[in-house]
Amino acid sequence: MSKNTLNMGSNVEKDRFLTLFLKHERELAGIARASLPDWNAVDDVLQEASLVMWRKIDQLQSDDEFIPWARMVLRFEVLKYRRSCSRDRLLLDDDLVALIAIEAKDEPPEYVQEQRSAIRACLGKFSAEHQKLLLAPYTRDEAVKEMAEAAGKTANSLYKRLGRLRTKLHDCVRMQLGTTT
Amino acid sequence: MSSEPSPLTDELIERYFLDPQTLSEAEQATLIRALKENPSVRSRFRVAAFIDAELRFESSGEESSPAPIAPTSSQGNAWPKWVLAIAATLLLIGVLGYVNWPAKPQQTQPQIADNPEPTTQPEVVTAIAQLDVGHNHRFEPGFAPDGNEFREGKYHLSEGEVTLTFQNGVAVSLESPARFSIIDSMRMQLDHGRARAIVPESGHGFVIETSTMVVEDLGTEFGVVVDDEQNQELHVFAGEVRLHEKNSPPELLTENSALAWATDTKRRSITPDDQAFATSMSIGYKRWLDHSLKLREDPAALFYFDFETESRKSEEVINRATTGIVDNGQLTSGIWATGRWPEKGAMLFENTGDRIELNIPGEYDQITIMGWVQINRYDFALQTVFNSVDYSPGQHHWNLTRGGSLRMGLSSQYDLTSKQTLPRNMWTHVAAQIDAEAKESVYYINGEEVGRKKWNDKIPIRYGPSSIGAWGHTNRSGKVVYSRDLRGRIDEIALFSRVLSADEIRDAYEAGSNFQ
Repeated sequence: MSKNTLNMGSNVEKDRFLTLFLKHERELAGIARASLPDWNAVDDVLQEASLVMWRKIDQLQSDDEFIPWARMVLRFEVLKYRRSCSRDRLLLDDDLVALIAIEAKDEPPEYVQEQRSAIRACLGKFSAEHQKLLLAPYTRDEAVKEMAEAAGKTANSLYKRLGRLRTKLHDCVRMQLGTTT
Repeated sequence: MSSEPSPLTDELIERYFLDPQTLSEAEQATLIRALKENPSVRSRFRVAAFIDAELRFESSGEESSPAPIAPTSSQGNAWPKWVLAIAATLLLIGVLGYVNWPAKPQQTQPQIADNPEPTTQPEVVTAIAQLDVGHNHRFEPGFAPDGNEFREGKYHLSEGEVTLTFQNGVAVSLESPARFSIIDSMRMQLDHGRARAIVPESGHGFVIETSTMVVEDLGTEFGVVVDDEQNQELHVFAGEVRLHEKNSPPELLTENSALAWATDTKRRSITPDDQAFATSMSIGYKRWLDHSLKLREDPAALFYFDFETESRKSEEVINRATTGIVDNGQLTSGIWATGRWPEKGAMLFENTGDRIELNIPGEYDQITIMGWVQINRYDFALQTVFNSVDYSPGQHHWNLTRGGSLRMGLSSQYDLTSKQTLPRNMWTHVAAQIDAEAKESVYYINGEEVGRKKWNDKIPIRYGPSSIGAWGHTNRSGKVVYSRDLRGRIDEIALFSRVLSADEIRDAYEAGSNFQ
């Protein structure tokens, strides 16, 4: 009986993990993204980190501590990943990446939710064509290239245009959050 | 040019997240400098990472129509694979749960009123540091890490050496006997022993304290010793530290200085001794060496080259395998160089004709090849790691393609090209299991399987005259000519007449991988 109860308890813990993980997955993806060169790396690291968290969820006393705890697990997985991949893939060195990650702790937790609302609101202000362009890089590997070809432009010029569009989006987000200087 | 936030750096950040390859070298340098120098650029960089993540989630929930963005749930069409991994794990648990609890599991919730003990959840104790590398290390019971995890608390290292990595990137190497406490991610106390801290920018302010002093890092590498009688030393190898002593104002200590305190004498200056403190690299080297010494004694070791030499002019590459089945290799030309560690030798294959020739007698049912290579360039369609001269049935070839893939073959049976590639300028572990009994070969890069091939006929594996670093074949006039020159270093390569297990290959990789 007691053994079964323990099993049950453990399943409850794992459900708790899934709830917390799904609730915060975008935030964790954003945290990992700042330390890793591309989305493939982020996917790999989050997969490893999620398994570590899943195994150790019973260490977590309060759900409120999930993000600091997950951040720490991520930090180690990021280090492990970066060590295993070739230097020429890593534009930013380990020290710089660590500095960027460490400073993030000073930002208040509610910042994330506000940021997300701001991103959505700002994205909605763009024209349909620009929204499509902003989302294109994530749909398929070749999407930006194909759009460039269709428009008779080079991929590089389209990337530059995308860079400017995203800067606008970013500026709008900061304006909404009141963080512009 | 200034590194102040500017429209240019703003745009470079966005383009970094789109595709860093589209940044020119000058643009990369501008971005890196701005990030290093300016916290507000780093803050913008973090927000850009979040925006990148949000856009990716948006796109996964979107069809091609760019209609006004509706509030979406966190579910998209294209779930990232980590979510799938978790879902799969939970599905499995769900099934197991169902097996255990076919009916109404909620009845068994342990929330019953007469439960005398309140359900206490374990206190959250998270790791502050992790074991990075250890060599023959042992901790006293009750003063040991939990697996690889170091939390707040006291530790007694009774044997060996370890390096801990803190989450802010600080690395502390300790040699036994050592007693220390981890206070938090920025502070530890050394009661006894020898510790060296390597502190990156993100760990500035990291502190090691002893009974009488507090050493505060200001971006540096330093060592602290506390002996049995509480005699102490502080060595600064790079950068600066701020020293706080009892009853004295703080003082700055700079690179290449050292101080010693004895209980009965005044403090004095001493010569800093960099060699006297372990680093994760020096510990990694010892760990590799121990493992290597065992491999050399394996009764199935046909050859084991560690590329250590007494003389850089030597034309002989000593076979360290204790079986004595294969003679020493003959170096036609090649450069005796350094390997994964400063104290480790390697062979640099750089010029046309550089190779090691050897002769491997006998026929074998099973072999394993294992080694560490660092490729500088891929100059040719194929370059050879280790091949038999010519290529007749039962002979094995190990080449690399121009793109860096492994290209292996067992003559008359199969060819195989790995999808995974060997990165340039990076030490990489490669291994192959070739089993004529099972008629199967498996190949590994850095301990991970990258290719597997079944073959048809049970034929013995043989080598005969062979070479490392180039391939020889007999031309029409009966002369052996060499091609497929390798451009890079090999610092360990071995051949065994048995199949080493996947775990043994993984162990060899791990034992040899702490070289950074």
